[in-house]
Amino acid sequence: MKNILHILRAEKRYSQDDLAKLVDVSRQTINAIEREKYDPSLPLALKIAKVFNKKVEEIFFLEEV
Amino acid sequence: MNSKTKKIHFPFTNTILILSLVLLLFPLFSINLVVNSIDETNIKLVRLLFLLSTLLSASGFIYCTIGFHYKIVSGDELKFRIHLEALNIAFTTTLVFLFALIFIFINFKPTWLNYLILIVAIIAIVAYLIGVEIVKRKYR
Repeated sequence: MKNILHILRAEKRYSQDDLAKLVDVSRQTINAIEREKYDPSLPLALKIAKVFNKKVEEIFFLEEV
Repeated sequence: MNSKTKKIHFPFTNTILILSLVLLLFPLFSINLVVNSIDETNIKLVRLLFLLSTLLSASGFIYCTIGFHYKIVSGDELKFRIHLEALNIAFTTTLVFLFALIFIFINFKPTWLNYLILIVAIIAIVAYLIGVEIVKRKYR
């Protein structure tokens, strides 16, 4: 699954650690999501969307064929 | 469910783990020190002491296992995922080794069947630790 998390994070000038604290996960989790190695659970995706005041599908989306 | 599990705390798990290990090995090392002084009068006391140490050790290990489980379940979701995938690897490996060892022991070393659980337990722990490292690489 693709995402634009690193862009949104850069816009808000959050570090991975800052975002991790805001959504109550480890920095490694945020890093794995950004590198598209790990797909977050729905509750975590919703929490991330809430932090950036966006819809989940605006941040996470399927790779277009 | 998550909010429920977060309320459960298991303090001093690392200390209890070390103490349990010491208590588990206590009979093994202390028997050499007391073996000459054991007679009919105190043998029951020695047996009770060894029984108590192993019982406390087993209780300690159970406490730590439950403690670590709740810590992982209520913690970070990536760590939980790594834990689950490592358990999957450990379970499959243990099952394969179990059947292989049963075949070997029944046909070639029947007396070793007494140690089967011990051997399988060690294999399971090692497989889990290796599994964690393999899965960690996947998400790095």
